[in-house]
Amino acid sequence: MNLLREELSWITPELCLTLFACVALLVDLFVQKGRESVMVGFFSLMGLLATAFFLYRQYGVTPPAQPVFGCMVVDPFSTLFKLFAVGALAFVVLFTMLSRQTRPDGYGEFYFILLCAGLGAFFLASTYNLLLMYLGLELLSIASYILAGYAKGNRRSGEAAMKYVIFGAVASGVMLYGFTLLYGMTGSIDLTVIGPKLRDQFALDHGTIPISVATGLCLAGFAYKISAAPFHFWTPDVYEGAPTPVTTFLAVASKGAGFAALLRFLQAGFIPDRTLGGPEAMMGYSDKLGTLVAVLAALTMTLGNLAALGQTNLKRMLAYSSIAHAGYVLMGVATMNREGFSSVLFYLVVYYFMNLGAFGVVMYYANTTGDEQIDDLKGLGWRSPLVAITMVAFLVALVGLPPTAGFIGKWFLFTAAVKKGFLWLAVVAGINSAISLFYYFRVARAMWLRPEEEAKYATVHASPAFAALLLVLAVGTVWFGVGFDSLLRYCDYSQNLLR
Amino acid sequence: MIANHLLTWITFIPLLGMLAILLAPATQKALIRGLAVVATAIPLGLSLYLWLTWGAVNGGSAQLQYVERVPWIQAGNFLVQYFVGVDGLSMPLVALTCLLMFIGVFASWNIERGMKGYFALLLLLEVGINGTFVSLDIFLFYVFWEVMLLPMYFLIGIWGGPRKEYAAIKFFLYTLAGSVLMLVAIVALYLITGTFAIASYTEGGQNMPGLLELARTKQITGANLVAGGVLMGVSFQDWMFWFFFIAFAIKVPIFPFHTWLPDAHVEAPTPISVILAGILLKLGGYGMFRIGFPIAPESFEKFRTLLAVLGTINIVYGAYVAMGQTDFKKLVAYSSVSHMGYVLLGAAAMTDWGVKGAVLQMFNHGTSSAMLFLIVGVIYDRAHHRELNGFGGLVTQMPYYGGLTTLGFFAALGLPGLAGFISEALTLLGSFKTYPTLTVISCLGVVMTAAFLLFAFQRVFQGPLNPKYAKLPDISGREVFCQAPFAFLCVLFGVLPTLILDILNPAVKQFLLLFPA
Amino acid sequence: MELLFFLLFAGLAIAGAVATVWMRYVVHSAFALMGTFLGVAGLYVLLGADFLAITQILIYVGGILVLILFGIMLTPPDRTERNAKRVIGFSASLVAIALFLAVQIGSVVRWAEKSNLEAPKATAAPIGRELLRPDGYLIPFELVSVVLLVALIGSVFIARRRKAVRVDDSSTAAILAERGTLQQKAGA
Repeated sequence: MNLLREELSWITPELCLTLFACVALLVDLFVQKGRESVMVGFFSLMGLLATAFFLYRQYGVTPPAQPVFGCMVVDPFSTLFKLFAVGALAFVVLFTMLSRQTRPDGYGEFYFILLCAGLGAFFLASTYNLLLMYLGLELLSIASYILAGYAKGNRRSGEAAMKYVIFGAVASGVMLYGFTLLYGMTGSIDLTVIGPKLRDQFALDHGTIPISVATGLCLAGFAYKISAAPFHFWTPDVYEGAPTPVTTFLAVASKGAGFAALLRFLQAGFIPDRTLGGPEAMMGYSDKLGTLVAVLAALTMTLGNLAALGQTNLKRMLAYSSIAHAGYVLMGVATMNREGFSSVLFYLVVYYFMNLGAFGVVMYYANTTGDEQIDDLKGLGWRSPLVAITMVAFLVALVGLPPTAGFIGKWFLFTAAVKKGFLWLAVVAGINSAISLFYYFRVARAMWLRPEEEAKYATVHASPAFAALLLVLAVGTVWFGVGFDSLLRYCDYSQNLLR
Repeated sequence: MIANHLLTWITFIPLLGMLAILLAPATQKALIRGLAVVATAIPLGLSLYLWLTWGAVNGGSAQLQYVERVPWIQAGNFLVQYFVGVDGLSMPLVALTCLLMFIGVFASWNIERGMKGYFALLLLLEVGINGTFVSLDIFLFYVFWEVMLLPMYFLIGIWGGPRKEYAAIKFFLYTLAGSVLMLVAIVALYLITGTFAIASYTEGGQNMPGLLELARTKQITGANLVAGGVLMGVSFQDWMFWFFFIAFAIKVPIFPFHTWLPDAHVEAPTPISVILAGILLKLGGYGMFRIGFPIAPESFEKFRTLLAVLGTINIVYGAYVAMGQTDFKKLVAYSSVSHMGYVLLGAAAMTDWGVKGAVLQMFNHGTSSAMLFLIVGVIYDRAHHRELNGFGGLVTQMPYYGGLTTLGFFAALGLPGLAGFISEALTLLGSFKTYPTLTVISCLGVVMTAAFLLFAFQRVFQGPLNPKYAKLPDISGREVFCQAPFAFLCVLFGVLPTLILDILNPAVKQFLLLFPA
Repeated sequence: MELLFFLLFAGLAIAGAVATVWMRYVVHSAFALMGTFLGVAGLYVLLGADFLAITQILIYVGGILVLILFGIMLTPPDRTERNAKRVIGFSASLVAIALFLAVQIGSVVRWAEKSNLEAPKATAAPIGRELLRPDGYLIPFELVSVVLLVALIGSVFIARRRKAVRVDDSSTAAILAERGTLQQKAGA
């Protein structure tokens, strides 16, 4: 019984999140009409705060030696990603509370599904168990499908949801096939068991084709979740069609969780412990896999950037930009070493700030103008300078220029890639960054370089709460570009997968 | 307190000014202007102090002065330092920046639209420029280098002329493309050496060699990064050299990377053109002297003839194109291209005189081109166009203006007795030893420069007065105040070049020591 | 004897799958799918997985297939679309077969083997125990319930009829215009 209690104590954050999801669902029934968004949102925020508190208490504590309940890993890595998800969810909830794009009912359901999606991200980030990983992925996906179609009655939202479901079902089916093959080869669904078994297979030198097929199928599933090429086609439509808070969730939390699972999957199954030394074949295979990921990274960032050049819709542009950023992050994954993985964590945190901020500004303008066209931002810099200044900070960070966190994040990704020998990849990424300047700054151009007289819309000043949110994100974006040593240590500590 | 952190104060006081301006209400125009004046005047005062006490503090040595070094980012082996200091190479340029920015504020007196943002960006620009000049850590250097881009983009893009958007993004993209190359080189350097420090320093009694020291002792081969230090048939050092060179060459600008410059100059508002020509171009030259050449001494030795050719092309081609211009501002812009060619030619010559001339040319071009752009600004403010053929006979209508213009033109074309002559002569004399043919060709550029400037003068000031401009008021007190310091410096360093050469001498000697004989 | 049944069930499953893809009418496909489900259930029985076999019949034949039939009966047939899909179905099955062959033939794959297997006995009780054992599948089991809850609430949420408030871009703009926040600049 004591043992059970101790194990339960390790999963308090998950329990807490589930509890508050249900609370959100029920609170909706008792709240005065017209105030649901704020009240239910408030309860959801409380829940997230409580979850964050429990997560914070777990941080720095020696993780349990054995997986909790036989399948859940509680380590700094998972805690970082859970905190990441909670932080992203908190902003999504706040955005929803401030958004006018949402429909006037069903808040209880919305927040419930949102928090459950967060729960899916939690499980995705903290398990070596393929079954649980798949379930987490499905929970996250199913919740995302519903959220994407949330603005019911809006054609584009419905279309987005439909597209998302179809692509998602195929991807998760493909991934499941990959998992099955892995199980067939090793007789286990636990990656910590699968890894050594695979090593034996390599040592027996039975050829790598079955392993390659299995890995490829699994990677396809992950690539879908992080919207990497060539599984990125759903991204622009879904991002554009879904309500902006949901898009924010998909772009930040969902993608982050996908990367968490991908890193764990690769580390446990395919990266031989260099200190122990694995069979030569496995070393070679791991490097080959890295090269494959590097090629995917180059493809993803180039496709994303080139497609973004032609966009006129701000949200669609940001969707392609998020594809490009998935490519940058994959650079760190491709190194298949400790340094690269650390840089991935660092970049994801940075990405969190700049993307949440950019989508926040999009939402603000959509609230103001009912539109998301870049051209409609003309002259708005002069009308609402604070929002536009924060937007410039986010854009600069997205391009990757100092003194913002975006630069530092890219710096570590570049360094890791060059060190691993992917100089060509670093050059491709550099060229891509320069290209990205062009489309990111179209937004800055519309906002600031056009005179105030060209502004199509009168300004609604950002509410103090909203302005404060954007300022927090902007300050984070700039601060981590200047004083990033604590974050660096934090990410390095959390990167406990590879030593 | 101030003396201990002199460079920090010089660099970051404008940042404080920027924050103060951002907090000031937009309607208080006088307050904002006042803040901008104060925020540029203090660094100017401090840099004057720096200059005037230089000999006393320095005693003629080539050592870095006013060095400050604290760890900035420290995590594991990753150590970025806030490492600043000046020597004879950077100190005059810091002073020039402070002066130009101070004058820039006064030249911007007429800006009304979005004034708050304008001055805030101007001050941010000053932070970036001064920071770049004083940085002795390559990471810090890069951060400051990029900090300059954003304010410049907006200053040209918001307050510029009709094609401002095109000019602004062109400037941004060109410079960014160069920076990306530089970034790749910096990443590689870090992976090879594990340090970001440009200059050596001592830590706990232990000597920590900086990048330049490592390069001089041939420890940057790249062999630990790519096998044998050769990548795709080109040695690693060559790669690095070209990456840095292109990044800086875009800024200078060196032919064929110069095409952003005429656009940016023509579209930028007058004060921004002044700053662009006066100081931003020098960053490219400074970068070559500080990092680009000494980081890859052998590659520099290998390619310097090519660089000299590029420098000559710059001189002759810039002057040739300038001859064909009828837009006053474009003419001055191309004259900048021509003048910056001397910097490359002198550096490539690798003689004491040549390098000294090149460094001096950077400073002198900073004063004379600033003056020329101010002169263009004066006439543009009054006539609202810059077409050279549209004027005539203005010397009778605006005698003081004519007088100042004469001085500015003579300084630019290198009339003996004025500053430009000293630097151009030194450069050419120095390079003649190494590259006699190229030097002779370059002299053609001198003649052409004289020709287009005098021809321009003739078209604007002599001949019959265009009746349209019979009522143009002469140059105002504020405009004279803006130009006077530059006129003064042109004359001063023309008559007493030792005032600045004494500062440059040790630094240039030190620079030459970085290369194998 | 066992081999005979294996061939029978396997044949049923494969024939059903092929028929599902190739049948002209959707209803026929659906019935052919039943053959596949039953064949697979039979294979489970042969493997000694009685619980799984029963579940397969209950859920897939009894639940999902009936649902599919309902869906088919409530929608008008569309033959052109079906013909277009046939090519995709064909190529998809080709890809699947190719992948499988690559795994099987491309190398000597070592499928994991369990030694000293006991004689098959009733599996329902052990599965139930395993599902609720803390170190077994308790967490995945509980998580499945959350997934189902989300799917349930989500489907209700999507299917529910709502009072007529449409939210799309034009109506957002209209609402905002009503609130007087959207003022077209005069003359612009």
